[in-house]
Amino acid sequence: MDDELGENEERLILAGCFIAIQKIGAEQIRILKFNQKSKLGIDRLKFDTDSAIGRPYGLFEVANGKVQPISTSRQLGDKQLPKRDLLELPKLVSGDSESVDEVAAAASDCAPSSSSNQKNEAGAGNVVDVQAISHDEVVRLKEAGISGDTLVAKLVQGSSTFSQRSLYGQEKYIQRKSNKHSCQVLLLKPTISLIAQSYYLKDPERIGNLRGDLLGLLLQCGGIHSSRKVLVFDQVLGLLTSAVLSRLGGQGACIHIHRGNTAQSIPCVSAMNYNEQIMSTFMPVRIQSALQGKTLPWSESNQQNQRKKTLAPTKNESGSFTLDEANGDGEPSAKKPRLGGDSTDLAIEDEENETEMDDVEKRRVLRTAREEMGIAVMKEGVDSLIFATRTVHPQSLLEKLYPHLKMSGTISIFSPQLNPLLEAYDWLRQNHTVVQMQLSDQMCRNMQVLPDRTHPLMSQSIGGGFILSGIKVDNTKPTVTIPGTNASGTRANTVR
Amino acid sequence: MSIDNHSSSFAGKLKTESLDSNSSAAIDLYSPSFLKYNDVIEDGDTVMVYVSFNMIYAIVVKRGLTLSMKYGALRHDFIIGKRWGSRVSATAGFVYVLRPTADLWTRTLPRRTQILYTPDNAFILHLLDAKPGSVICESGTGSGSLSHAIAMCVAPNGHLYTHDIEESRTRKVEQEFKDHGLSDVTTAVVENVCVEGFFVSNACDGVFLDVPEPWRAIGHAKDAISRMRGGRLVSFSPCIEQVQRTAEAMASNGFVQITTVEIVPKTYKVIGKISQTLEEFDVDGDPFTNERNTKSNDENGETKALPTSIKAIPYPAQQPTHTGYLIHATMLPFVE
Repeated sequence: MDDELGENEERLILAGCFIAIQKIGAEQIRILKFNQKSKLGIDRLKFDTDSAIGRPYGLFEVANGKVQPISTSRQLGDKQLPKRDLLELPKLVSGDSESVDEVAAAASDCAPSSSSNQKNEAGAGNVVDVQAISHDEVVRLKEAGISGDTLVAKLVQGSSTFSQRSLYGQEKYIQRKSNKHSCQVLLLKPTISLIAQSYYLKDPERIGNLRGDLLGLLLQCGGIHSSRKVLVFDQVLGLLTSAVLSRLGGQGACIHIHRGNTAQSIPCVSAMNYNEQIMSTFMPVRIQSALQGKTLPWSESNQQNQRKKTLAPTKNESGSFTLDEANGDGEPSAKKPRLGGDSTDLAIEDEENETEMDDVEKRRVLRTAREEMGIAVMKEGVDSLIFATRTVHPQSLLEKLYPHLKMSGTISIFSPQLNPLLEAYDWLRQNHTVVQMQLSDQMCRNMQVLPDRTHPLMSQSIGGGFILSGIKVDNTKPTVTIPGTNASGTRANTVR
Repeated sequence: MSIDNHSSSFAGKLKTESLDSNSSAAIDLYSPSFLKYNDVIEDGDTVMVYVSFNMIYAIVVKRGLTLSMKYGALRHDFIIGKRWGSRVSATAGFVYVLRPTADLWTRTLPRRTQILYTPDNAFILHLLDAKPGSVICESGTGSGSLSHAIAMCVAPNGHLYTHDIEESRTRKVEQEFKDHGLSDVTTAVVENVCVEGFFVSNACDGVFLDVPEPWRAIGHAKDAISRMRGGRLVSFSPCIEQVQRTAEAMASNGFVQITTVEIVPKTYKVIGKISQTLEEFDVDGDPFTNERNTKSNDENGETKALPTSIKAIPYPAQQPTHTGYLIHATMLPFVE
């Protein structure tokens, strides 16, 4: 019964958790904290969060400032309209509004196409489209709760140029209007791929252009899986750390080297709503502690208290219009209600009721314990070094952290620039024995898929980076000095 | 290229079904694990014998056997008891013994079909949101390259159901799972998913399709995905015509966020910058020619001692520019 409840909760939108939100027809995905009693806006759609809380993740329709789940049968009904024969389109359009509605619905059927398609391609380029329905009227209709499809049908009727457009032009018009006026939103449980895509589209520089496919490759080159001990250096908003935590699934170690007293600027970890079990592998270690191999005394800065003070009002304001986007510098372990041992969802409020000193003290004890665990694992040796750097030179990381890597352990490093990796490559080759070294990048190309008009997108985000990977080996025989060229000319003694 | 004892260890597995059932009862179940983390190599472990870049042999170490390769013969007894990552001497050189990873397995596995390589495997795992505990269905099994990547990713509490129409492939991959300690997290079945559907229904978190007519399997994929949790679907197709029909089938079955992508990886080699002056050239000649003459063992892209300035160039000159399109989509949880 408890299990069932737990699994049920997994699929429900809960107050205070992060969700991924995407408007149907739009590319952008936003990762937001879903607070109670607030209004949420995405692409001109606004709704009360309360109307979604307690419902399963899925597809919703926004009307009158509230969301309403769209049933699977209705969603399917929309999709299963007979495939429109392009030749029939003019007939349909000239008919009554219901058939236009069908056209609109069928148009929304198509996979979302790129924004590059969205230029007006009316047959005669210099004909100005006169829309009979004014902007005010559209707003009025929307406030009255008109459905997106009906609105598009009205706009098609109101367009003076629609009938003069080519068939493709008509279809594009419908597609464009449907995307613009769609009232449907996806409210999804955040996943690593959604978070990666969201940041890559919104803020690629903050994650060093670490695209989803490169993140996947970085993890795979690092051989990350459950029970592995992984040393992470992350300058990409916690995206890499979060992905490693996800792949460890609560077993192993994710040592996260960070600045300052607490692990900061890792919103991608918070965004996953990890439970206590997953977070049990999260071992933040301060840079100085990592370098000296022991837990140092906590610097008694009032920075900590200050942070606490600035955080607290945000929480109190949760009743008002707050969009707590997963952007902040918050300390994820503190934001995790369940990590502190309080297993209720109300833990945040409990924390608030406690005195600040107790709270700070409690966190410090927890942080110390985690850091000690992390340092202990580093002393034993880790199975993977995995870095995603933006400004820190990978060679500097290797100089400090490479000794902690076990033999046969993997190195995988991402950098948005090639040169630092070349220097790291050279360092590894000159100073140590690393085999199977590989330097690579990859192009990731999105396709427009439409009947008879499938081709790569005309333009898309192309930012990316490079990955250096290799495997550490034990080269104790002093005769060989050049790694990677084992036993080339000089033959080792025949062993008997 | 095929190494006697290397292949004999595989042949040994095939012909000794009965012996194996004995030994699997006698030896501990998890012995030869891809997931186990002992410090030293034990009898029955799968070991990646690294000879040079991309010349790696996967062997199951067994007392009494010998691997012969470029640097002569290497007795398995010699490997047992060594620490992972050690340098081990053979009769005519030495090798390194590496711990298996999904990437190394993909590079070394015995190919029975075309296989998916690490860049695609990695991206597919990412698109499936695979993690420990995930239940994933895959078809076809092929040579088990992606199957191993998925199995290692979803272990220890998830599961992979892998389907293929060829019984021989299924049996072989089953044996490999057993050898690699992945039996507990995998089920390999002979089934045509386009006709019979998947082994499970209303159960999995992700479906991966690599079949000639994926559009025929989309409805079955929907059926396999958990209605309560929803899930992800990824289909691999080399041809754009297949993509077209598959995407249509996904839309008509109610999948959302349908997206088609392809990745084109590129590998580099690190070289010294071209910086010779005319006078130096007069004295030293062409360093690249000299390099080529001395790099007999180095068919790999790992060049030697570098000048002060380093650069990278794409290497090898010929690289894959297309494997297949990945069409991926989301099935939402069922709503009344």
